[in-house]
Amino acid sequence: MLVKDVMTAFPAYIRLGTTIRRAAEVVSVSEVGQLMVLDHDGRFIGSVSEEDLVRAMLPGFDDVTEAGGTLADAFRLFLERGRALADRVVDPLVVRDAATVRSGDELARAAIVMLDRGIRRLPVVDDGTLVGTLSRADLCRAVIYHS
Amino acid sequence: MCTLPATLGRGSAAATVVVLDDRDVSRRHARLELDGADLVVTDLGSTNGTFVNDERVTRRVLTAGDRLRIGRFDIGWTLIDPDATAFMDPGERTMLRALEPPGVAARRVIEAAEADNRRAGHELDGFLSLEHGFLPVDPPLTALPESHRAWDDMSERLPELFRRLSLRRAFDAMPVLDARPEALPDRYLLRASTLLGVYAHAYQYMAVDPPGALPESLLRPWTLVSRRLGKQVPAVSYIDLFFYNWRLRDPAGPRVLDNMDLLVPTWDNAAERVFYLVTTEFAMGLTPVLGAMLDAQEAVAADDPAAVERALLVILDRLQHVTQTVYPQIDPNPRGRHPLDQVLWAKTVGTAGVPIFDGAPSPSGTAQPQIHALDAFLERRDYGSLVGRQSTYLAGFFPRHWQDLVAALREVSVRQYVEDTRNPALRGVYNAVLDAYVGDRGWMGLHRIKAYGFLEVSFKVGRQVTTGARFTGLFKDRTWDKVDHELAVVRDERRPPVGPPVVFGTARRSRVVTGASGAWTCYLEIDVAGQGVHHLPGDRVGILPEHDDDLVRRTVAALQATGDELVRLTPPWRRAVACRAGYGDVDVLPLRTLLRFARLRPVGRELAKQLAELTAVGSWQRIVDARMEDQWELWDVLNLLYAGGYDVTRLWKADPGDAEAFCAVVPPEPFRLYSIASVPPPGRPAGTLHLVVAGLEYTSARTPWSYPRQRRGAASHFLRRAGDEGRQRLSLQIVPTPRFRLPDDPARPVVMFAAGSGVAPFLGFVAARTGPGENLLYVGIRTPQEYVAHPVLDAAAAAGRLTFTVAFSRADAAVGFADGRHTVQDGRRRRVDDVIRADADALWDLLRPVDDGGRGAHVYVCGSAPFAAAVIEALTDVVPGDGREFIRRLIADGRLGQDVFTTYLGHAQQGPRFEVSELARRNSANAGHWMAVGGAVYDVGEFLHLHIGGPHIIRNHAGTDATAAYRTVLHHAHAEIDAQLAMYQIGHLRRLRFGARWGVVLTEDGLHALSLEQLFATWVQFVYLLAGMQNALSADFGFITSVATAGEDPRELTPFKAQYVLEAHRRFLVSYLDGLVHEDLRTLWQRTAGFCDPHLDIRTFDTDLAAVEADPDTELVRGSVPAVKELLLAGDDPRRVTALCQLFAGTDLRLLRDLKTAVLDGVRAFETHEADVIDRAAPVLLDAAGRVLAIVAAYHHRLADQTRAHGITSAGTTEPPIPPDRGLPGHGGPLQLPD
Repeated sequence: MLVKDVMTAFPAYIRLGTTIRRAAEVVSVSEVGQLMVLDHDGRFIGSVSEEDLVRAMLPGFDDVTEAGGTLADAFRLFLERGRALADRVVDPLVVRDAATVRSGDELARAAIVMLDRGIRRLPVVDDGTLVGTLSRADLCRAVIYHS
Repeated sequence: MCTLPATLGRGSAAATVVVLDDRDVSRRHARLELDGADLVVTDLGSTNGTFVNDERVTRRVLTAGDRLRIGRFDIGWTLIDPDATAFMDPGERTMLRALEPPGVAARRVIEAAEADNRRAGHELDGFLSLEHGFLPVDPPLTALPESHRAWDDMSERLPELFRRLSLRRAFDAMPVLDARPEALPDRYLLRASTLLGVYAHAYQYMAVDPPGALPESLLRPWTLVSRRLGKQVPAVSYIDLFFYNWRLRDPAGPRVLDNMDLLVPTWDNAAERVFYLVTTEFAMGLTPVLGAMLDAQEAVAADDPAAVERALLVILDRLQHVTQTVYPQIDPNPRGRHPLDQVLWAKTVGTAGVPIFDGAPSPSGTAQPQIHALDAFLERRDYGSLVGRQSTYLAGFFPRHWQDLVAALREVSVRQYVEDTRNPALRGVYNAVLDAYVGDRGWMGLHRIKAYGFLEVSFKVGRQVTTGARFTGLFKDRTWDKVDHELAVVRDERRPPVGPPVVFGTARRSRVVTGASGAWTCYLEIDVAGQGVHHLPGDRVGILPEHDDDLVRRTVAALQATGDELVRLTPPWRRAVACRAGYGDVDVLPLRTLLRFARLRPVGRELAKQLAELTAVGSWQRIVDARMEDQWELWDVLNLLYAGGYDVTRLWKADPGDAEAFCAVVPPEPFRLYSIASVPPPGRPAGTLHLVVAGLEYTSARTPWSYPRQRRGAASHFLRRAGDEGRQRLSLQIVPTPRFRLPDDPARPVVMFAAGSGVAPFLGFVAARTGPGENLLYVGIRTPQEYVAHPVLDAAAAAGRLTFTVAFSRADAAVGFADGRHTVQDGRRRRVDDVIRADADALWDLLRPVDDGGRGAHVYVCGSAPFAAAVIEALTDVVPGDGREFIRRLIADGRLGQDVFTTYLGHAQQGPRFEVSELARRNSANAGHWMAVGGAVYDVGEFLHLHIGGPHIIRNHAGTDATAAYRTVLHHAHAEIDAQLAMYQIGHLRRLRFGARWGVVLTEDGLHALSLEQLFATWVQFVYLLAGMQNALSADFGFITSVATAGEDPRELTPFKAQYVLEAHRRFLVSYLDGLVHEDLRTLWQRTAGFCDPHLDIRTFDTDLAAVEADPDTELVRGSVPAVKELLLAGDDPRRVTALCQLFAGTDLRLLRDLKTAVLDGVRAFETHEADVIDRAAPVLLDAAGRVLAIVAAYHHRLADQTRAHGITSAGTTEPPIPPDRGLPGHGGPLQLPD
């Protein structure tokens, strides 16, 4: 079985320059944890995950000490940073050297890289064009449930 | 054969009849001819001469017995009498044969050195002779000429000068004497070198702070004497400190510690005397090895395996002698004959040899010529490690003869010969030699363990400089671990590429005796004829067991495999399999075969934890938490894991590098030890080994974590099977037991106590004891059915040498002796300890020391840990007065040998459980001494007096978890040691249950989730750290009561000792307290704050700490140390200095006590509330963590107040920063090697 037989053909994506608020909206509406990112010409650039968004809100040690130094301050800061980040562009959070597969690849190949690198959703890219995504759920459905 | 006259020479000219192929031989070198009836040799004007009996000749009449030498050839001749044979042409009346050179290269070096030293009249080019090895032929001089008496005289004053710290003034005032050859002839050079070297180092290291420079009175002559000895930079050499620094008390007496004194002692304390002289005796003990190495190499050249074996046996014997007799005289036991206190050693001897000048060689252990010679002979693989390079560097400073010898010894490979001949006896002896040199229980292994103990103790008490480096690390940096690691690497470098040290034997006959209860004992004979097995009575043999088909089948099934799967071996597995008969260097085995050799039962702690981690199966984790894994075997664990959802096939499918690979998870079976119940004839190899094997069978417990099932001991059942079959090839390893040896004096009485199969070593003892000494053997057996008659006991009793008493514990019977046999008779049931108490008077008469009117018997106990404990307990009752103290002395005198073996003692849930807070309290004379090893708790209060490594090491770990240290010295891997520990076990540490509770902490790395268990671990580590600091500091200040220099009153705080109190206090402030507060306490506080109070500013701690440090009292505390040191060196007010020293010591120890009390409050809160600790006791934790800093502040206030009260109100000169570490501690000065 090949990747293209199983992949989600209409992946959730955003473009460079999108605000973080918009990215969060797509995450919540699409219920997909990992958004594909295209450049202005529509070519695949990388991905951004909900984890990256959440991590961006997490303050560092110096941030906390500047804001009062308590854990309560850290928790407050977390919310404030969320608000502050919302209107910025998503570009700095995009992971650009993401592993990809081709639509003609064997499924097992995709499964191995996902497990070894802790990837939940793989971009399927043919010649720079995003043609779909492959999730762990896709694999389970196709290989086990439909077998 | 040739006719005379004959010409001898190198060339092949027609006139030459005998060709000697040697560059030192001239083409026409000499002529042999008959002059009448005389055989005459005439030199033909050769370049290098013709020698008769080492005398150069031009013409000489030869007589029988003369040695004719040309070049490297000795010429032998036989004149054939023409009347004696009818077949000889009368013209060919002489047979001439060029003999092989008389010896191998190394022999020629020694002969040349002996002749050279004789000719020169001194031994400045290196002591080297067959008779005295690397030691001088003439004993070291005891005096210089009258002109240099000032140097001689200073020697006696050194201890006093040290004690009063007035040494530098004395040498500053000493006249500058002339060290040129016309004033000081060559023969005095070595003594002068020793004297001046010792003085220079004393001058350098008398005070903690080094002087600006050496005084003229020392520097000028020392430099000159060193130059004359070929040393460009003045340095104390191995010769100065050891080989030329002894004299015999009785010149006719033996060269042993008891008969020697140091010629030029520095402090003249016990540590110096024992350490230096044992080192010298060590070299003396190895002297015969030199000749034996030559003999072995020559026997190789002559292809004479029997002679090689004889020579190797001499080496083996000497190595065992120095390892088991000479070296243990460095005895840290304070009750020993030559006690050597490690703290005293660290503060005096340990620093003495550090070179003063950069690049100078040090007299460290790596400079021992006899070790270099052995390394060369045994073909040390590599010198690449740090220590290896150091040792190559130091060898470069060897005198000429030593260098030549080491090079010459490399020319013949005995190893290659042993491999090529494939003679099992030779191979057995060769492996035994290697094992005695580099094995875990051999010289290097013992050295490593001993060095670890010395270094740990001495680093903790601030051995500042070693023979190579200055120790600057924080308390917890564990520098000694790094040193130990280096030593392990070096030992590995020494092991040449030969097979594993195993011999193979064949199980022959066996006899199984089964008691009424079903318990059985197997009496087994193993044929080892022709294997070169040499052992002494009391030694043990290690046996590699194999599992039976049934267990293997079960395990294969549990692994859901067929058994034919191929499994790649990991390096430890490869080494283990190589020890098996019939398996060489294999790297793949079928699963079924692998399982025969694997540790399948019972499941060990390490394996259990690893399986829990890998599989995450909850039911198994609960069993591991309850420490009940020993109730399980691997196959039923696998079934449990499978039921819990783990894919067991992953174990054998995994790649060999994976954490999950079978070989990475399950270890191979180790050698199981059994006492040898037989003795070979003295000096002969053993033909048969007798064993007494007790069958191990028990039913695992019915508990919430285990179910009842019949379990069997792997090794005992294997040996029983092997005995039944009678053909099985066994892999064996002889394990010497130096602490379980018969007395040297055959007249000494011997008293032996055994339980069950513990009788084994005593069967060997009784057979070996044919002298006049009395022998008593007490054996505990359950029932008469289990009693076995032993001919060796019958024979000894018949000869009147043995009294044999059997105590039947479960039957009313006894054993009597009549008509040459022991037989079971009527009697009363009793145990061995009952018998001991009944025979108290007679036993006391035997045990009492000879100088106390007793007979000084040697006592031996062999049995399980509870049996050994019961016997020792009963023996203490036999003694009128302090029984425990008597036992301690018995051990210190080497009169009590214990051979304790492990048996199944019931499951873990049976014993009491203890809290960490309880353990951590137990590190003082009042609270007792406990320690934890591998989760079990031991009361070592009595053991610390008995520990071979001395009480300091035990005290160092009291109140803490000592697992890591215990394993570093391989105590866990040596069953004979590990089993003894069981005698002191009192229970287990309770494992707290934290569920999956977690919290958020803020640290420099950002915000993180931490499990509650990790928070608890942080607290526990902190409290162990405090206990460890208490232990180390007590040992450090304990130095006050030692005799540091000869002739002092230990109660007096001499200036010399006072400076070390100040130094300890300084180190406490810098190395202990700073690290404790800035790192460990800070982490503890931050983590606790995160869990307990989200409204606490994380910077509070830093702010509070800064406030504490900015306090003027803190500044005074820090600054007062140099001020007091100045006061001390001025020497005006010793009483004030003493008071301040007492203040420092008392206040420092109190601080640690207070800190531990505070922290233990927190630990107890965890123990009380476990998973709910945050909800219920957050304020307690926060308070405890916060109080720590307040206690430190209070310490500063208290100390500052008192310091001011003693009139010190301002800081002295600031201390210079400590330079970075250089070189490797204990192994020489900083290397000056080209990059």
